[in-house]
Amino acid sequence: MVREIRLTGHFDPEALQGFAMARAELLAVEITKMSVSQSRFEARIVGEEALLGMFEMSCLLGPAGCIVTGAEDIA
Amino acid sequence: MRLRDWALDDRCYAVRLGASLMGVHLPTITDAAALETGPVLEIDGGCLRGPADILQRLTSLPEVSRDWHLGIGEERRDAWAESALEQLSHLRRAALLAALPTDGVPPSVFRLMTEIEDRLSDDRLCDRPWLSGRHPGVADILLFPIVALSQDLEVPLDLYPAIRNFIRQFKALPGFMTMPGVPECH
Amino acid sequence: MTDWFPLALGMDVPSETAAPARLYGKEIALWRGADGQVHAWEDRCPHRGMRLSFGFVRNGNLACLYHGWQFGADATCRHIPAHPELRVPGTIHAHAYRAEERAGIIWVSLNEDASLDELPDEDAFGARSILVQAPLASVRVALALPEEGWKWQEDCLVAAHEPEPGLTMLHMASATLANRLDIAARAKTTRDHLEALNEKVPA
Repeated sequence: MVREIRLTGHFDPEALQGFAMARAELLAVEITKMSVSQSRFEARIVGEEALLGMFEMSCLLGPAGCIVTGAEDIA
Repeated sequence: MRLRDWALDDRCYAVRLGASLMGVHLPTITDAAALETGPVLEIDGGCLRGPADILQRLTSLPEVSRDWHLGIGEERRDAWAESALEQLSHLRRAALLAALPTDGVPPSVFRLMTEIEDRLSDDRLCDRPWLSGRHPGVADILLFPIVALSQDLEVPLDLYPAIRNFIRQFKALPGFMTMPGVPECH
Repeated sequence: MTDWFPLALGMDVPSETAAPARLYGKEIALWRGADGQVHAWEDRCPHRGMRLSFGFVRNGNLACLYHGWQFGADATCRHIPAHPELRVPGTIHAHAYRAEERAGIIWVSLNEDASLDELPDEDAFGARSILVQAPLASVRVALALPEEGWKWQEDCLVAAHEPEPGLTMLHMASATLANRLDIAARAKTTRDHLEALNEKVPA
């Protein structure tokens, strides 16, 4: 399954990117595209549906210093 | 018969726990005074105070198994366990009611835990599974809230293996019940 | 330098239970399956960071208390209760360290290449793991223990580790089953002596 997700909020881009990559590796989720700024995180993710859900959930909680205020599917 | 009870008080918990383990139906009435005085049992037109006396009274009820009485020649440790529970209760109230968080485990808590750990550890090597001997008794019921709620004082249980062992075997008793701060057994 | 640390007596981690341990503040979950095998893992569920030592052992797996994720003896995740149909990918796993049980004591190494030659190979029976409120270095000096590792003192194997700075867990095992009570009594005397000594040392 493929999903594209977008999170908005206040991010430490480096921390969030590292966190997302580590989580993806743990959950056997492939990130085929990712962009991170101080206010937006977008990723195209490939994997089992349940695992994509877990990936999204962990990004919603995020690492320290990252606050998510909005989340949507963009594809 | 009725218990004047405060749900979050450790000494009241000891009495509710004991009644549940012994299979005694014990109605309770919430009484904020019990936070200070501890549990009070209304029975036979009078009032009985002190968790050890109350639990001993419960063991003498006709519906309670004789197993909850001490075996012949077995050392009575209820007074020791009750005094330990009073100490914990005092320290725990001080910690929970403190205006500011305290730093580290107070020395008096270490002393109490050490005394309990020594006793449980020696008992185990003597093949004495419970404080009260071969079957759990009043002293064990008084001890459980102390060691379980020591978590409220942030006591690291990796330092006390015999206490961990006691908690585990106690939680497996039929009729075991929890209170806030004491997690369920799995 | 030794890679093996004595973290607990074998008898203090009974079959199908988990127990917490710390080594210089690092939290480690010890657990034992029904087959008797002891495991030592980082005390953190890879899912939400819950301490795995709070968990429970079921069907040869250690299950996290929080959401019930189950990890097998090889530390890989075997089952996620919220997604019973999911074939859990092998990438989800707890972090395992090496664990060996020798002479009644559970030894853990954070180094995968640690040599088993450093461990005692005699039989012994766990008598007491006892907390000493004194730093490990001063305990070693006072007990004439080597700077690292363990030592037989007559019929008693003495080993120690530091769960956090300033606290020592002293592990004592007996060469004979009958002598365990004597050795446990010796452990208490030793602790009282060491703590009295430590109080005299100016901070």
